[in-house]
Amino acid sequence: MAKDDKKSKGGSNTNTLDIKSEETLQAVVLGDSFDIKFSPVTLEKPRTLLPLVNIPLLDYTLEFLASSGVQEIFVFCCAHADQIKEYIQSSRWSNLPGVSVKCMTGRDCRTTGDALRGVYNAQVIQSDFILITGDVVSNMNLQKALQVHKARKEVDKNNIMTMVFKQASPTHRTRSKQDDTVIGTNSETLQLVWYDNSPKKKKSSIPIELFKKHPSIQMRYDLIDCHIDICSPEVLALFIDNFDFADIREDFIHDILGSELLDHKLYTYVLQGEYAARVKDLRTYHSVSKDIIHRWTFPMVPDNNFMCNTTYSLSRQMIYKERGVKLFGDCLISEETVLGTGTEVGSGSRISHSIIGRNCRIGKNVKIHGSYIWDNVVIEDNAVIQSSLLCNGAIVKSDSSIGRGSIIGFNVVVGNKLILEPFSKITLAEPEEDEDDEENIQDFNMGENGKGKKWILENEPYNELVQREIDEPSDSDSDEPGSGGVMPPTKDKDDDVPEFIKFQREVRDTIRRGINENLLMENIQVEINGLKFAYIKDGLDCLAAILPVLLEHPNINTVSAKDLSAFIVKRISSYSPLLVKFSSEDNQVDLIFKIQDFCDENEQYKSVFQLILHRLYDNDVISEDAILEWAQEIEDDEEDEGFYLKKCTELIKWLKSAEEESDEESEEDSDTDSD
Amino acid sequence: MTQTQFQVVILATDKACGNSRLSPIDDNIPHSLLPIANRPLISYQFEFLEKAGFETKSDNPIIIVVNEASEEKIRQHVSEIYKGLEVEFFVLKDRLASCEILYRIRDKIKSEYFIILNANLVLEETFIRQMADIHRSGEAAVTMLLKPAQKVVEQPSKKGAAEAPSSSKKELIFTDYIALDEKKEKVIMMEPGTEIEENLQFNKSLLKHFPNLTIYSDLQDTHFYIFSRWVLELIVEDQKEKYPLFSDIKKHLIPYLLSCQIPNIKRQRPLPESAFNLTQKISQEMSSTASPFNQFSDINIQKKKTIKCLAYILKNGYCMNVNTVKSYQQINRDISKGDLSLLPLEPKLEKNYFIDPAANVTPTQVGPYCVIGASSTLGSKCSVKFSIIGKHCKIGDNVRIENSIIMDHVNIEDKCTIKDSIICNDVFIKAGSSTVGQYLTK
Repeated sequence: MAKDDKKSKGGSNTNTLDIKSEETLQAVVLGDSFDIKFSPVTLEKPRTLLPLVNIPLLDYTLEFLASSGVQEIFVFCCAHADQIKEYIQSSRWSNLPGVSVKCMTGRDCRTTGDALRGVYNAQVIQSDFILITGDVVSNMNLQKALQVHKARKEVDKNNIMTMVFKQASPTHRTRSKQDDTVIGTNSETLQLVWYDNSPKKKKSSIPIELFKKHPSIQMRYDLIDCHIDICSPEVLALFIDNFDFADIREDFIHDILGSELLDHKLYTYVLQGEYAARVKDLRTYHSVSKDIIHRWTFPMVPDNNFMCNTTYSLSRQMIYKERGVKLFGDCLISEETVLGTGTEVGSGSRISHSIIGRNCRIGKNVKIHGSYIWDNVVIEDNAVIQSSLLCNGAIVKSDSSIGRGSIIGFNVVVGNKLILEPFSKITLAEPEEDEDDEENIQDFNMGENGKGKKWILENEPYNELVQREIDEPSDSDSDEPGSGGVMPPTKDKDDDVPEFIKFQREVRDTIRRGINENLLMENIQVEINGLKFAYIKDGLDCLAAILPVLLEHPNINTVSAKDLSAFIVKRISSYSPLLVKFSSEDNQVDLIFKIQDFCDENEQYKSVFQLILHRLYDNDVISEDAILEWAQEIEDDEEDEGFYLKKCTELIKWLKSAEEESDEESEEDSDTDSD
Repeated sequence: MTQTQFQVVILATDKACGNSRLSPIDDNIPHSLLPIANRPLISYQFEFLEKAGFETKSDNPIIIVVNEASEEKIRQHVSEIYKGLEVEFFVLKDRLASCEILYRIRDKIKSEYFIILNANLVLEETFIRQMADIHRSGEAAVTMLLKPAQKVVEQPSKKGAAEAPSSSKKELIFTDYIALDEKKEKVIMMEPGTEIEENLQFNKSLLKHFPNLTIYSDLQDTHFYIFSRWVLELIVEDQKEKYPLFSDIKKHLIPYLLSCQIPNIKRQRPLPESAFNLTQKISQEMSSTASPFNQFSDINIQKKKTIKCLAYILKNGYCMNVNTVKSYQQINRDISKGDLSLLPLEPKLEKNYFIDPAANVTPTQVGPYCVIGASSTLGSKCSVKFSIIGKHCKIGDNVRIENSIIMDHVNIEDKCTIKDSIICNDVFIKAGSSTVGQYLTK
C-alpha cells in the first residue's frame, strides 16, 4: 500500500477535523468494485467514471451524499486512481462549499477489505460514517436512516451497522441476477439475523438455532441490497482484526452473524418509495439507465442538470436533448432517447431507446436501437447497432452491423461491412504485464480498416447488457411475462403485444432451434413445457403453436405438392413424440379445428389437409374418435366448412370401415390402428 | 348464534390424533375421558360447542369419532349431561389416520364448512364467531387456529421447578415453524419441529410468491381447523387413488393445501372445481370482458387458480392442547384456579376451592385451588394444597398432598406424602410412603 501517501493525507485531514465540530458527517466512497463485471471497459476506465446517461456514475453517488448533508467524503480509489483524482479535481466537487471531497489511494488493494483497512490506517474516520460504493444512484432520505441508526446505537453499543435495503419484487428489473439475497430479520427489532445470497441454489435454509434467540424471523426476498451502509468506526477496526476479510457482504456479515463470541449486531433499514440502486453489472447498468430516463431517480434526472455542466431539456416521449444537437433531414428520434451536445445525426437515421453522448457523428441511414453510445463516437452511413455499448472514440465504419449485447471498447474501429456477432466484446486495451488479462485477449479480424482485439472472457449469461436467448431454460417460472428481469430490447416495443403472440413466438423460436440444431426431443419438450407454464397456456395452445412451425416449409411457394407431402410426413413422424405429450383426449377435436384454421390462412396447405390429419392419426396424436367427432361437428355446420370434410371423406370412410371391422372381428391390427 | 353452516367433527379416538405424549397416565383411561379438574376432557369440548351455539338440528349433528373401547363411556357421559346437543357417534373398529376417518364419514358431513376439533383441545368459545367470519369472507380452504406460545415463566414458583429443565427438549416436538405472510393472514408454510433437524429449508420459488414472510417459532397449531367442504371432495378423490397422498390432516393434507397457494404449481391431485368459487369466477369474467388487455385476464386466471389458507391467531380466551403430561398438569392447575369461564363441576366455596357437598372433608385441611370430588374422604390432620382429588378416594390420616392430581377410587393410607405427582384410578398407596414427581398407574 502506498503508505507514505496516505499518512501525509491522514495528517492533513485530522488537522482540519480538529477545527470542525465532532458532528461532521463523513462518508467513504469505494471507488473500485474489485470485480470485472464491466470488463473489458474497465481495463481503461474505472467503473465509477463510466457515464450513466452521460454523467459519470461517481457524480450520482457524490451528489446523493452531498444533498444528504454529508460534509466530508473520502473517495477511496485503487484501479485507475489517477483518473478518478483528476476527474474530481477538474469537476465541481473540488470546490463545493460545505462539502469536501478527498481522494485516498491504495494501489495494492485487491478487495474491499483491503480498502477498508486502508481507510482505517489513514485515521480519518471519527464517528459513524456512511460506506457506499461509487456506483450507487439514490434519492433516499439518508438523514432518517441515520437517526434510526443512532437511536439504536443509544440503546445498544453493539449495533455497529445499519444496512439499507430497498423493497422491490423478486423479479424487479433493477435487481441484478446475481443478487438473490434472502434476508432474515428479527420481525420485532429488524435486527439482521440471516443473510443468504446464493443465486445458484433453489433452496434456502436457516438454522433453527436462530429461533432460540429470535422467536419470529421475517424472511424477505423482496429486498434489494443498495450497498449503502451506515457504519460505526468499529466496523473498520473489525476489518483490521480480521485481515482475511475480503468482502463486506460475504465475509464480514457472515462472520458477524455466525460469531458467538462477539455480540455485534447488524440492523436493516428498508426503503419504500425512495429510489436506490447500484450499478453492479451490465444488466443493472441497463435498468438503472432506464430508471433515470423514466425519472424514478428524481431529482437526479438529465434535465435537472445537477452537475451544472449540462444543458438537457426534456421533450415528449422521454427524449432528452442537450443544446447544440444537430439533426439532419428526415432522421427519426423516437422514445427514451438521450442526445448529448455537439452530436449530429444524419438524414434517414433512426434512433430509439438509446443514449448518445456528446460530439458523436452519426451518418445517414444508421439504425440504433437500445444502445449506449458514449462521447466522440463516429458511426458511418448504413450501420446497424443493436443493444450494444460503444465506448468513447469508437468508430463504426459504414455498412457494418453490431449484434446485440456487444461491447465496443475505447477507440476501437469496426471496419467496413463487418458484421459482429451478438455479445462480441472488442477492446484496444493493452494487457498489463502482471495481470493475467493477456490470455483473455485474442486477435480478431475487425474488417477493412478495422482496429481492435477480441475479449474472450465471457460474462455470466445473466450479466450481459441484454438477455441471452434462453437465460435459464430449466427454471420455467424465472421470467414472468411483463415483469421479468430486463427485457431484451425488442420487447420494449413488444410490451403491448398480446401474451399469446409472445408465446407463439417463443415456441416458434424453440422449435426452429430444435430443428436446426437437432436438439433432443426431451429438451424441446421441457422448454415448451416451461413456456406453457410461464404463459399459462394449455396443451392445445402448445400444439397450435408447434404445428405451424413444424409444417413450415422453407420455400413453400415453389415446392411441388409431392415434396411438400413427403416433407410433412417426415416432420410429423419425427416430432410425433413431442406432439403426443401435449395432446389429450379433450383437446384433439379443437386441434383439428386449429389445423383447419391454419390451412385457411395458408393456401398451400389446403391440399395436404387430409394428409396432415392422417399422419397425426397414424402417430397417435389424434384419435379416431376425435376425427369422427370433428366430422360430425362440421357436418352440421355451414357449407363453407364442407370443403375440409370433402377433403377427408376418404380418411373418414376408411376410419369408419376400420371401426366396423374391429367391432366385428376385433382383429389385432385394426385394434392397434384405432387406438 | 346460528352455526348451521358449520358442522363439527370431534376426533376423539385414543391417541390417534396429534402427537400425544401422555403416557403413562392415559394407559388405562381413554384420552377423551381423562379427568381435568374432575371433569372428563370431552366435557370441555361439549361445553365449548354448547356455548358457541352449535344448533341442535338433527340434520346437522355433531359427529364424534370414537374408538370402540371408549364408545360406551363417552356415550353415557354425553347422554347424561349434554342433552341439548345433537351428537352422532361414529365408532371406529380399527386405527385409522385422520384423513381416512374423514373419508369414512364423508356422507355425514353435509354443511358448507366443517370444523375439525381434536379431542385434546380445551378452549373457550370467545373467538369462534370471528374465526368463522374470517373463513367465510376470506373464502379460505382452511382456517387454522394458532395460539401464541404461553410464557412458561408464569407458573407459581414452588412448582414448576422440578419439571422445567427437562421440558425444553420435549417441547420441541410440539413446536411448529409457521410462516405467515406480512399481514399475518395467510399461512404459507408449516413445518413441525419434529421434521427439522438443523436447518429449516424452503424453496425460493415460495419466496418469489410470498417475498415477505415471517416464520414464527412461538405460534402453536391448536389442531382446530375450519375446512371448506371441497376439501372433503379432495380427500375423497385422493382416497380413491391406489396410493393416497393424504393420511394425516396435519402432516399431509395441510401441507398440500399450503403448497396449492402458489399459482401454477404442479398439483399431484387436482383441486375440485368448487375450490375456486363463484364470486371469483364472476369477477374474473367481468374483468376479462371489460378489459381489452390480455394480460389482465391472465392475471385473473392466475388468481382464480389459487386457494387460500388462513390463520386465526388467538388473542384472548383460554386454549390448551392436552398432549403432554406437563400440559395436563398445567390445565388442571389453570382450571382449578377458578378464574376461567371453564370451571370444575363442584361448587366453588369461599376459600377459592371446589369441594363436592358429598365429600367427607374438613375444609380447613384444604388450601386454595383445590378440587375434591364426591364421596372422597380425608383423614384427620391431612393437608391438601394445589391439588385435585377425584371421586370415591379414601385418604388416610396425616397425608400431605401438594401440587398433585389424584384420580378416582384412589386409596392412600396414613402418613403418605405426595408431591408433584399424578395418581391414576384405583391406585393403592401404602402407609408412610413418599411419592414425589411420579406418575402412578394401576
